[in-house]
Formats: sequence, C-alpha cells, structure tokens
Amino acid sequence: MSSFIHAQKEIQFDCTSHQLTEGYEISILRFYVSNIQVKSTDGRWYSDQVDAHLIDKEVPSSWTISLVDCPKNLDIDSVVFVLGTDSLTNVSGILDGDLDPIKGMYWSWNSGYINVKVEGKEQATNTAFEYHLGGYLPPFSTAREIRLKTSTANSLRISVDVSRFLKNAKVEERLEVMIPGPEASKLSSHLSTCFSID
Amino acid sequence: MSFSALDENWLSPSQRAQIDSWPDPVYNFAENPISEDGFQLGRKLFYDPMLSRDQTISCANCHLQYTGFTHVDHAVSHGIEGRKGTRNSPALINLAWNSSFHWDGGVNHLDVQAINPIEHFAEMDNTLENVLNYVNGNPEYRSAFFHAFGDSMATSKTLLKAFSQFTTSLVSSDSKYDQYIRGEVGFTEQEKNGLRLFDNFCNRCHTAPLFNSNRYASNGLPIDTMYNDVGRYAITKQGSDSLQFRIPTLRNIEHTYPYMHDGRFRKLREVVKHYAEELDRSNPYLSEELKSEMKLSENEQKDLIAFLCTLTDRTFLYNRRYSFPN
Repeated sequence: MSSFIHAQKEIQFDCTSHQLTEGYEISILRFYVSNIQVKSTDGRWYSDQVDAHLIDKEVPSSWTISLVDCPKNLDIDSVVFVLGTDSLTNVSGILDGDLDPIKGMYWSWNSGYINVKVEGKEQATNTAFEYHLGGYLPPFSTAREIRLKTSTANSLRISVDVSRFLKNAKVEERLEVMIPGPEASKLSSHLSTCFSID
Repeated sequence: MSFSALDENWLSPSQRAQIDSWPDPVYNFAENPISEDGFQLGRKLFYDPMLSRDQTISCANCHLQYTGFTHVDHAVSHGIEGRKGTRNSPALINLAWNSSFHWDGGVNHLDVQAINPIEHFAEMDNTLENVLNYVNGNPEYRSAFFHAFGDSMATSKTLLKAFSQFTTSLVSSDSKYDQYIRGEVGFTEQEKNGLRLFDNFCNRCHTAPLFNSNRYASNGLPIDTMYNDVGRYAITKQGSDSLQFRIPTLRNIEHTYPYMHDGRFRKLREVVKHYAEELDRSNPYLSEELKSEMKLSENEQKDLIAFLCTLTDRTFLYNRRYSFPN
C-alpha cells in the first residue's frame, strides 16, 4: 500500500476584494462555513471532515480550507456549504477548535453561535455599522445553504461581496443587529446571495 | 430509571437508590464521565473568587448551599462592585434533569451555562479567556486538570465540563416528602391535606418528583416596570412567549426566598395568595393550567405551605461534599 500524501483540493475564501472599491471600511469580517461538500464533474461527492471553519478577514490562514479526501487535480462541478452553523452544533454544549467560545463568536445569554460578524463604516458618510447574525431557533434560524456552480472546473475561489450585502442592509435601514430574530434571519438570507465562485 | 445508561461515578450509592424511580436525567454523562477528581475540580472552581474580574466573588456568592444554592434575602443578586442584576438567582438543584437554564431558558446546555456568570457585566464581568489564563498559570489547578482530564492545560471544554461535574452532582432526593414516598416517615394530617391540594392545583406544572417542568409559562404576575422583563420572548422573539418564565423546582422552597423570577415575594404565603386570590384569570397570557379557579381557604393555604415545607432536604443543604472545599 502506498502511503504518500495526495495533494488536496483547496477552497479559497476571498474576503477582501469587493469592499475596498466600494467605499466601505470593513474592520471585522468573520463567518462560519460548515458542511462543505464538492461534486466532481463525473458526479462524485466529497465531504469536508471538519465540522465548521471560522473564516476571518484578519487571519489569512483561515481563508483556505483543504478537503482531505479530495484530490487536487479533480475537476469540480459545484460546491455546497452552509454559511453558519447547523442547529445540532448550536445545542451540542461546549465544543472546541473553531467552535470554541473564546473565538468570540458565541452568545452565552442565548446559547448559540454568531454565524457572521460584519463591522465597519461607510467612508463617505462616516456611518458605522455592526451586524452580528446568528440564531438557530425556527422561524428565525440564520444558517443558509449555498450552492455554487464552478465555471473553470479547477479553481475553487469563493468571493464574498460584502458591499452588496451592506447596500441591502442599508435598504433595510438597519445599522445594527446584535440578537437572533427576524432581522438577523433576513440579513442572513441577503448575505447568502453575496457569494460567488470563479 | 435505567442506571446502565448512567455514569457509574455519579452520586453515592444511597443517592442512586433514592432516585431509582425518577425519570432519566437529561444531561448526557457519556460526554462527560464523572470522576472524583473532576467533581472536586468543579467544586474548587465553584468556590473560587479569582474567577471574577476583580477577584471578589465566586459562584457561591449568589448560590449558597444552605439556601438551596440561591441568594437568600436578595430579590435580585449583585455581582462585582455591587452591580445589580435583574432576576432572582435560581436555586441549583437537580440540574441534570433540566433541558435548559436561566429564567428565560436562554441557555440550552448545562456545559455552556457557566460562561454567563463569568462574562456577565453585572456578575463576574470577566472573560472565559482570562479564567483559562488564570487556571493555566496556577500549579494547583494544573495538577487538578491533569488528574481530572489527563491534560494540565485547561481548555474551554475541560473548564466547563468540570463545572458540570460539580453542578450535576447537586442532587436533592432526601426531603421529608421523599422519605414519606419511600415509606420511611409519616406525614401529619396537615401535610397530607397539603399534598392533596398540591396534586389538585400545582403538580401539573411543578411535577413530582422534580417539582418543575422543562417549560415556560406566564403565572400572571404583572410586569415590573423597573425591569420590563419580557422573559422567554427575549430569546425566541415569538409573541406567544411574552412574559413566560421557567417553571422552577419547588424543592427546598422553604429556604430559597424571595420568590418568583424577580424575587418580588418574600413569603411563601404571598406566593400561595397570588395563585389563590390575586390572579387575574382573564389575563390572555396566563398559562392554561392557571385559568381555572384555585379556591383555597385560609387553612388550606396553610396546609399547602406545610406540604411545601416537606420538600426541604437537610441532607442536601448540609451535605459536606457540596460545601466550601478544604
């Protein structure tokens, strides 16, 4: 049996490209990605072995996720993942790794993960905004499944258009969401449409 | 109860015999097997004021053993620097059977409960990270964590599981009521009559043997405008949960005064009077169980209170294993 390590497929989350050109200054952009699956062009599925990843704009090493069982050169048809953490994760008590509450993405008063943090200001108007999106209890759950079909079959670079999300949020006239509820749920839906793949 | 499913080191043999006919606990001991070292570590943490930001208060400040692990005489409790909270400190009794915690049920697992008092501004106002740094820099704790979890370096996971090893062990199962049910002692006529009234009017929510429900309900108390506490609604944002609060255990109720979520009643007779005489039954938020009349004469109210006093468990309140560690 051979024991060499195959090069693994990597997914890259690009957290920085859009907002720079759109007049927003993003101080915090952090979000959980979980239950990642990729489908090869010949129809096979590969699942990520890690429960959840915390992607942090400030931590470039967090932008890349390696899929252990998926060979690097495999042609990929589509990527499916959950933006946020599923309800089982939210009721599982104390977890470690990226799900450790000391990561600052956990509400202790209303047990559960803050799936997304977006904080910063709009430069032209100097208006600060702060969005902490989370909550797993229906009907205001905030985890969103995202399905992206690749165009180049080999590169898996996923971009997050935060400025588009912020424009949406502004239309809702909300500069601050800090608790689970209808606003967090609605904004999570908005944000889930702001992901795209190369 | 199916003891095969339970952790073998949880509780003493006599306690296990006492809870033989109880429902299975909610807490999953398979994910946190109890050990003597783990229990003692949790106990040490529970009584350690170094956990608070200014090193002045421990968990035990608001959860005193002799009063059922609540803050006797305080309508609402105060944390560091005299900062006041907005709710009455809950009694810590039989927590292994609770599926959620706090008056609004905002905490969904016992293992994550302790983060709240550690980080709450009006309680210890510290951070989980600071507490980990403190225990990891302390040789006694490093040794204790090594013995309990096989690693001297504490993590959020081992720290919080240590708390649960102690708090799940706070089991009250030897009150006069328990002894009466087991046929070990008799009840007075007054206590028997109180039990009959309790079964008629109270047991549907405060259900024996735990004398609680893992539910929330509105007991008809008007909102206190000083706090404007909407209860469960703050957690779920569902209108139907407005003004609903946890249905707490009545075990050791004689000693856990003051009563209700904001501690507004100082005496048990005020509580009983609220349900028997003062309740507005047309209140649309009122729990279904309270919508029918609860007519009790003055003597019957006294009988009911006599029964409630049989829920006092001195074995629990004075169990030295639960007290300040030497």
